[in-house]
Amino acid sequence: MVFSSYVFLFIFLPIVCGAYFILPARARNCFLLIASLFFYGWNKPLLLVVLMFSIAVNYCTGRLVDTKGRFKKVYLIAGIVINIVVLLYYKYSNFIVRSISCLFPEIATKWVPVVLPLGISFFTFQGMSYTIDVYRGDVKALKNPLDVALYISLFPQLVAGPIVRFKSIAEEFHNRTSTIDMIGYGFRRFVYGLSKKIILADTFGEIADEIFSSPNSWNFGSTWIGILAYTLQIYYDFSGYSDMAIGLGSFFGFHFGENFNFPYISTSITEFWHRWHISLSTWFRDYVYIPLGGSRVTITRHIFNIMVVWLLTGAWHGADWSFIVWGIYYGVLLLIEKYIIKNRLSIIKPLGWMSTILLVMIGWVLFRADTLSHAIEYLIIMFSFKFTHVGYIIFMRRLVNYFFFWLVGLIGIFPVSNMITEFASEKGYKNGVPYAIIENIFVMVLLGLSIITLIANNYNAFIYFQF
Amino acid sequence: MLSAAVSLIKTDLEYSIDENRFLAQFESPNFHNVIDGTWEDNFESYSLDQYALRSKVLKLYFLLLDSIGVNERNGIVRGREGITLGLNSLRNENSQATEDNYVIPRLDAMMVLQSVCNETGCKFISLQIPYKFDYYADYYPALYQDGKNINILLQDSLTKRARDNGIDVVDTSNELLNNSEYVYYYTDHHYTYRGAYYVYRELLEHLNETYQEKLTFPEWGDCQYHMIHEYFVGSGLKKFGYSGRKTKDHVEYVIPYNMPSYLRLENGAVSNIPLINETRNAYSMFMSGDMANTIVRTDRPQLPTILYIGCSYTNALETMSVYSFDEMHSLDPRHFRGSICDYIRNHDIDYVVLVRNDLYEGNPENIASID
Repeated sequence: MVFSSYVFLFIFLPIVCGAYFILPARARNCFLLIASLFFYGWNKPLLLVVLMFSIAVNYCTGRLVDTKGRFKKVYLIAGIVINIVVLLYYKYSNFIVRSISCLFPEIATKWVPVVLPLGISFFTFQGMSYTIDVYRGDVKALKNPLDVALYISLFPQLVAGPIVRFKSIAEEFHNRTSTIDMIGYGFRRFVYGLSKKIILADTFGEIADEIFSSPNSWNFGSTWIGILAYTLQIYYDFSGYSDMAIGLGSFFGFHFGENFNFPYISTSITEFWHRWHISLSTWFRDYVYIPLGGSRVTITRHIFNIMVVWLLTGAWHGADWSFIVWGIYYGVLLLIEKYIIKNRLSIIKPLGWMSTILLVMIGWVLFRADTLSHAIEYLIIMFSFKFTHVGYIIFMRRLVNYFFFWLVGLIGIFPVSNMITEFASEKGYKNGVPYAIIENIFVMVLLGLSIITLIANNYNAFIYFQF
Repeated sequence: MLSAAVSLIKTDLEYSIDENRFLAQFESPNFHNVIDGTWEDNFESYSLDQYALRSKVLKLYFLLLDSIGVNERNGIVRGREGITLGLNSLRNENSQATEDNYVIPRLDAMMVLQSVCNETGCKFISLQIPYKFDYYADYYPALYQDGKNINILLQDSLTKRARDNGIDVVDTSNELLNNSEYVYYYTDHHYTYRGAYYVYRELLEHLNETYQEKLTFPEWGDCQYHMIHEYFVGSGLKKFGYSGRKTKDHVEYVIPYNMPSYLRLENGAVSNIPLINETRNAYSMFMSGDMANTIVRTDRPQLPTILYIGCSYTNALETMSVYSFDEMHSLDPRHFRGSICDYIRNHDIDYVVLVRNDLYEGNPENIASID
């Protein structure tokens, strides 16, 4: 099940929210667990086994490392290895078989592709963070397996993050309240995320998909409009999901951390990764980079640490060589920034911003293209500066036809909403009734537009015609 | 949530006229389809298709898109005066390869039919009808025009090469492209009944001149005139997304006052449905829409028999032919599952008319075997 589906919005969420607040507090965690498992198992019930196995492994590992015994490190390593083996099998085995198929073709012909469980990268990392935090003494292990199950499978953040550290919600786990303010905030945040996903991300996705899927029609104009569309698509899609997750968490009394902080206003790659998918970058920082020594080591070792982290980051994102190259690309950029440029570009902010956006867009080509060779071909055409009439026409058609979406999409990457809120606070409007009314009307309009778009996206006219 | 509840209890709709497709129906869950996830996927499609306010939501959605200037969607662009025009018809680059890709499959089909007609002694005619997007070529938005329309060049090339191969081609381009009357719909890809009338008249003139026939059809003004379906919504607009705004399209037709009595067979079964059935939706008003095989007999053996082979562009021609010919046969290769050549051999046909021939480009799987 996904948030932007009819079943979730019209059936699952109203029932779950209604039942949650009717139930007594002591039954709510159990109810949320059942709802989360139902949510996860909706499209592929059999994959619940994978989730439950992950829960069981992390619960047992947590209990075992929450001792003062001399084997606690062994238990931790065993738990992490099991998590990684499961992740490797489900996420990377098809890729590994494809990669070695030229050397061992008989393996490729006999291999039955493995189905990828939804969100496995997220819940695996979430489970590992729990066991590591228990090992470090940051949190106590949960004695009740249902609590671990709920923590890992909580549906607001299960399939697309943010990766929630248990220590950030430990106090809320058994002792939380959903105030009216939290419910209201949660509702607004959810609607903002839903509209980002359905109205903006899906529209830019259509443009990007159309262009990336037809290499024969790539030219200077279409490649730039295609990557610009993808740049906006991935931001609004991912940040939209995070908004929805945070909003739903707030609904149920949880405070999830921010996952995106207007990353496209960054003036350096370093800053970009402090603003983009924050829960993942901090996960790698806390559980890989710092244990390796971080930056408090020799330069050679530091370079090694950075490259390991970014290799893993690339691999986490997808099982293909293009993702690994993407990760290495950022590792190299960060090292160049650290040791060569040393933030000089970000002193002249517009220059820093433009160079960062350009480098990020180049990275997105690696991320989006079907294969590495397609990505290279795309980039060559993108920087060919060959203006053709056909390319100009395609560029202008996509620009003019979707002008409204481009306008909203490009404005939305800047913290306009924050500016409005700050302005209203300074002027004293924020706590007034008119502000609340306007904001709520705006939210209801967005909700209406999102639902209209969701219903209309199912429109599929089948007409015999040839023009 | 209220609308979702209503959706679950209301009677399900089977078919969407606007989308020309069957809507998803509720599928009973069982162990297998729940475990493999197909039931859940179907339930999502079913819920969206059967949403209680779906048609209103769709109209509102398209109205919103219209208001923010989204003029291209689902492969259709809206040109001047709200005319819907296809995008896959735009061919911006002419080359020998483009020309060969266009001409060769069409010419091959014509040659096969010509051959079997020679064998059986009937006459084969290729009836060229220009595309709607050629008629409205100047109505495309500026960004969709690159200054040249090669489609006419391609059709001219096909006509020339067909005639060079001894094929009798009736090219109605001049008749229609220079006609300022309402000959093509604004929101549909078909020509109007009036457009079909001019094409039919040109066909009859050609048969009379070339084969010394005395075929007639009354003047437009001398027939019973009917206009129905004011604000007709054509298939182009349905694909684009219809927002509920009234269109300039309407459906009109004429019936000669002295139409002969006839016996009509649809796919071999006798049909009592009138030739022009106003109670059907506009798309299938003429000759019940696209039938695999239709035969209309008028028991006038002194008149010739005609066979039309083609897509929906034959429908209006068929109704007029009942007046002029003893028997009118039609085959729609998209639905007819037999051999067209065998059909010609097994029926006493005088004239075989291939109406347009776009069916033979790039989509052979759905086309009946010619051979």
